[in-house]
Amino acid sequence: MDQKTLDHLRIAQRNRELARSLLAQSELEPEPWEWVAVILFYAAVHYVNAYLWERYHVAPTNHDQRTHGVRYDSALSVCSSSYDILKAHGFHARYNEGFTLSELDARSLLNSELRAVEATVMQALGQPIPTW
Amino acid sequence: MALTTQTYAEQLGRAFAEAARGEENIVELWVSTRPGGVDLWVLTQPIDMAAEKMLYRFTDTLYARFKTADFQVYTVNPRHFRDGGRSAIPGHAVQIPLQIA
Repeated sequence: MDQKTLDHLRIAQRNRELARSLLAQSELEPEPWEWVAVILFYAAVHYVNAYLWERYHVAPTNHDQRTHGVRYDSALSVCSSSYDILKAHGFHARYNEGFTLSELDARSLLNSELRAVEATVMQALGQPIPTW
Repeated sequence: MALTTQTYAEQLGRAFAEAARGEENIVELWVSTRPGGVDLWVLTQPIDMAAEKMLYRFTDTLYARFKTADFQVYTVNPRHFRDGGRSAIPGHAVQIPLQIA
Protein backbone atom coordinates (compact mmCIF):
# COMPACT_ATOMS: atom_id res chain seq x y z
CA MET A 1 0.00 0.00 0.00
CA ASP A 2 1.00 3.58 -0.56
CA GLN A 3 2.63 5.35 2.41
CA LYS A 4 -0.15 7.95 2.48
CA THR A 5 -2.71 5.14 2.76
CA LEU A 6 -0.79 3.60 5.64
CA ASP A 7 -0.60 6.97 7.37
CA HIS A 8 -4.37 7.40 7.15
CA LEU A 9 -4.90 3.89 8.55
CA ARG A 10 -2.50 4.59 11.39
CA ILE A 11 -4.35 7.76 12.37
CA ALA A 12 -7.73 6.04 12.06
CA GLN A 13 -6.62 3.24 14.37
CA ARG A 14 -5.05 5.70 16.78
CA ASN A 15 -8.34 7.58 16.99
CA ARG A 16 -10.22 4.33 17.52
CA GLU A 17 -7.89 3.36 20.36
CA LEU A 18 -8.19 6.81 21.90
CA ALA A 19 -11.97 6.47 21.91
CA ARG A 20 -11.72 2.98 23.38
CA SER A 21 -9.42 4.28 26.12
CA LEU A 22 -11.92 6.95 27.07
CA LEU A 23 -14.75 4.40 27.09
CA ALA A 24 -12.70 2.09 29.30
CA GLN A 25 -12.67 4.67 32.08
CA SER A 26 -16.00 4.89 33.83
CA GLU A 27 -15.34 7.72 36.26
CA LEU A 28 -13.97 10.49 34.07
CA GLU A 29 -15.05 14.01 34.98
CA PRO A 30 -16.28 15.72 32.93
CA GLU A 31 -17.78 12.88 30.96
CA PRO A 32 -16.21 12.72 27.48
CA TRP A 33 -18.95 10.92 25.53
CA GLU A 34 -19.70 13.75 23.07
CA TRP A 35 -16.00 14.07 22.40
CA VAL A 36 -15.84 10.32 21.79
CA ALA A 37 -18.34 10.88 18.96
CA VAL A 38 -16.00 13.44 17.40
CA ILE A 39 -12.99 11.14 17.72
CA LEU A 40 -14.92 8.25 16.18
CA PHE A 41 -16.09 10.34 13.26
CA TYR A 42 -12.52 11.38 12.50
CA ALA A 43 -11.43 7.77 12.73
CA ALA A 44 -14.03 7.06 10.04
CA VAL A 45 -12.80 10.03 8.00
CA HIS A 46 -9.28 8.63 7.96
CA TYR A 47 -10.47 5.13 7.08
CA VAL A 48 -12.38 6.55 4.12
CA ASN A 49 -9.45 8.77 3.14
CA ALA A 50 -7.18 5.73 3.21
CA TYR A 51 -9.40 3.86 0.78
CA LEU A 52 -9.98 6.80 -1.56
CA TRP A 53 -6.25 7.47 -1.73
CA GLU A 54 -5.27 3.86 -2.32
CA ARG A 55 -8.02 3.23 -4.87
CA TYR A 56 -8.22 6.56 -6.73
CA HIS A 57 -5.34 8.73 -5.44
CA VAL A 58 -8.00 11.18 -4.36
CA ALA A 59 -7.66 13.31 -1.23
CA PRO A 60 -11.05 14.88 -0.35
CA THR A 61 -10.82 18.49 0.74
CA ASN A 62 -14.25 18.71 2.35
CA HIS A 63 -17.03 16.55 3.75
CA ASP A 64 -19.13 16.76 0.58
CA GLN A 65 -16.30 15.26 -1.50
CA ARG A 66 -15.70 12.52 1.06
CA THR A 67 -19.42 11.72 1.29
CA HIS A 68 -19.48 11.49 -2.50
CA GLY A 69 -16.72 8.89 -2.25
CA VAL A 70 -18.61 6.88 0.33
CA ARG A 71 -21.89 6.99 -1.56
CA TYR A 72 -20.76 6.33 -5.10
CA ASP A 73 -18.05 3.73 -4.60
CA SER A 74 -19.64 0.29 -4.62
CA ALA A 75 -17.27 -1.06 -1.97
CA LEU A 76 -17.71 1.85 0.45
CA SER A 77 -21.44 2.38 -0.02
CA VAL A 78 -22.05 -0.75 2.05
CA CYS A 79 -21.19 1.27 5.17
CA SER A 80 -22.77 4.58 4.11
CA SER A 81 -25.43 4.62 6.85
CA SER A 82 -22.79 3.97 9.52
CA TYR A 83 -20.63 6.75 8.10
CA ASP A 84 -23.65 9.08 7.97
CA ILE A 85 -24.65 8.59 11.59
CA LEU A 86 -21.05 9.02 12.77
CA LYS A 87 -20.90 12.22 10.73
CA ALA A 88 -24.15 13.56 12.19
CA HIS A 89 -23.20 12.89 15.80
CA GLY A 90 -19.70 14.24 15.26
CA PHE A 91 -21.19 17.39 13.75
CA HIS A 92 -23.68 17.98 16.55
CA ALA A 93 -21.00 17.31 19.17
CA ARG A 94 -18.70 19.90 17.60
CA TYR A 95 -21.18 22.69 17.04
CA ASN A 96 -24.28 22.34 19.22
CA GLU A 97 -23.93 23.45 22.82
CA GLY A 98 -27.00 21.47 23.84
CA PHE A 99 -25.93 18.14 22.38
CA THR A 100 -25.48 15.26 24.80
CA LEU A 101 -24.52 11.64 24.30
CA SER A 102 -24.79 8.81 26.77
CA GLU A 103 -21.97 6.39 27.41
CA LEU A 104 -24.19 3.64 25.99
CA ASP A 105 -24.70 5.53 22.73
CA ALA A 106 -21.00 6.34 22.48
CA ARG A 107 -20.27 2.63 22.83
CA SER A 108 -22.82 1.89 20.11
CA LEU A 109 -21.11 4.33 17.76
CA LEU A 110 -17.80 2.57 18.40
CA ASN A 111 -18.90 -1.04 18.42
CA SER A 112 -21.45 -0.90 15.61
CA GLU A 113 -20.82 2.08 13.36
CA LEU A 114 -17.06 2.59 13.42
CA ARG A 115 -16.57 -1.15 13.33
CA ALA A 116 -18.70 -1.29 10.16
CA VAL A 117 -16.71 1.48 8.46
CA GLU A 118 -13.41 -0.07 9.53
CA ALA A 119 -14.36 -3.55 8.35
CA THR A 120 -15.65 -2.25 5.02
CA VAL A 121 -12.49 -0.27 4.31
CA MET A 122 -10.05 -2.96 5.43
CA GLN A 123 -11.87 -5.59 3.38
CA ALA A 124 -11.89 -3.29 0.35
CA LEU A 125 -8.15 -2.77 0.76
CA GLY A 126 -7.58 -6.51 0.99
CA GLN A 127 -6.36 -6.22 4.57
CA PRO A 128 -7.32 -8.29 7.63
CA ILE A 129 -10.14 -6.83 9.70
CA PRO A 130 -8.73 -5.79 13.10
CA THR A 131 -10.06 -7.56 16.14
CA TRP A 132 -10.60 -5.51 19.28
CA MET B 1 -21.81 22.23 -10.39
CA ALA B 2 -25.19 21.97 -8.78
CA LEU B 3 -26.91 25.21 -7.98
CA THR B 4 -27.23 25.58 -4.23
CA THR B 5 -30.24 27.81 -4.45
CA GLN B 6 -33.24 27.65 -2.21
CA THR B 7 -35.11 25.99 -5.04
CA TYR B 8 -32.56 23.19 -5.27
CA ALA B 9 -32.60 22.78 -1.50
CA GLU B 10 -36.36 22.45 -1.53
CA GLN B 11 -36.18 19.93 -4.38
CA LEU B 12 -33.85 17.81 -2.26
CA GLY B 13 -36.15 18.21 0.72
CA ARG B 14 -39.24 17.21 -1.22
CA ALA B 15 -37.44 14.17 -2.64
CA PHE B 16 -36.45 13.10 0.86
CA ALA B 17 -40.00 13.66 2.13
CA GLU B 18 -41.35 11.57 -0.70
CA ALA B 19 -38.90 8.74 0.02
CA ALA B 20 -39.72 8.87 3.73
CA ARG B 21 -43.47 9.03 3.28
CA GLY B 22 -45.21 7.22 6.14
CA GLU B 23 -42.08 6.98 8.30
CA GLU B 24 -43.46 7.56 11.78
CA ASN B 25 -40.11 8.30 13.41
CA ILE B 26 -39.70 11.51 11.41
CA VAL B 27 -41.45 14.52 12.95
CA GLU B 28 -40.24 17.43 10.81
CA LEU B 29 -37.93 18.03 7.85
CA TRP B 30 -35.99 21.23 7.24
CA VAL B 31 -33.51 22.32 4.58
CA SER B 32 -30.89 25.07 4.63
CA THR B 33 -28.28 26.27 2.17
CA ARG B 34 -24.60 26.96 2.75
CA PRO B 35 -21.88 27.98 0.31
CA GLY B 36 -21.58 25.11 -2.14
CA GLY B 37 -24.15 22.84 -0.57
CA VAL B 38 -27.38 22.03 1.18
CA ASP B 39 -28.11 20.58 4.60
CA LEU B 40 -31.19 18.53 5.43
CA TRP B 41 -32.29 18.40 9.07
CA VAL B 42 -34.45 15.44 10.02
CA LEU B 43 -36.14 15.99 13.38
CA THR B 44 -37.09 12.60 14.76
CA GLN B 45 -39.07 11.09 17.57
CA PRO B 46 -36.90 10.19 20.56
CA ILE B 47 -35.53 6.95 19.13
CA ASP B 48 -32.63 4.62 19.77
CA MET B 49 -29.46 4.63 17.72
CA ALA B 50 -30.49 1.70 15.53
CA ALA B 51 -33.77 3.34 14.54
CA GLU B 52 -32.00 6.64 13.92
CA LYS B 53 -29.48 4.95 11.64
CA MET B 54 -32.28 3.39 9.61
CA LEU B 55 -33.51 6.84 8.59
CA TYR B 56 -30.38 7.41 6.53
CA ARG B 57 -31.56 4.81 4.04
CA PHE B 58 -33.88 7.44 2.62
CA THR B 59 -30.88 9.41 1.40
CA ASP B 60 -30.19 6.64 -1.12
CA THR B 61 -33.03 8.03 -3.21
CA LEU B 62 -31.45 11.48 -3.26
CA TYR B 63 -28.05 10.22 -4.38
CA ALA B 64 -29.63 8.10 -7.09
CA ARG B 65 -31.86 10.91 -8.35
CA PHE B 66 -29.57 13.94 -8.14
CA LYS B 67 -26.28 12.16 -8.95
CA THR B 68 -24.40 14.42 -6.60
CA ALA B 69 -23.27 14.67 -3.00
CA ASP B 70 -23.36 18.40 -2.42
CA PHE B 71 -25.73 17.89 0.48
CA GLN B 72 -25.51 16.47 3.97
CA VAL B 73 -28.30 14.85 5.97
CA TYR B 74 -28.36 15.24 9.74
CA THR B 75 -30.79 13.45 11.99
CA VAL B 76 -31.81 15.52 15.00
CA ASN B 77 -32.87 13.10 17.70
CA PRO B 78 -34.44 14.86 20.72
CA ARG B 79 -32.91 12.20 22.94
CA HIS B 80 -29.53 13.86 22.36
CA PHE B 81 -30.47 17.53 22.85
CA ARG B 82 -31.28 19.42 26.02
CA ASP B 83 -33.79 21.57 24.11
CA GLY B 84 -35.33 18.75 22.12
CA GLY B 85 -33.23 19.56 19.06
CA ARG B 86 -34.64 22.94 18.04
CA SER B 87 -31.25 24.59 18.46
CA ALA B 88 -29.74 22.22 15.90
CA ILE B 89 -31.93 23.54 13.09
CA PRO B 90 -30.51 26.76 11.59
CA GLY B 91 -32.67 29.84 11.86
CA HIS B 92 -32.64 30.29 8.08
CA ALA B 93 -33.81 26.73 7.40
CA VAL B 94 -37.06 26.19 5.52
CA GLN B 95 -39.51 23.52 6.60
CA ILE B 96 -40.54 20.91 4.04
CA PRO B 97 -43.98 19.34 4.44
CA LEU B 98 -43.72 15.62 5.11
CA GLN B 99 -46.96 14.86 3.34
CA ILE B 100 -46.50 15.79 -0.31
CA ALA B 101 -49.76 16.84 -1.90
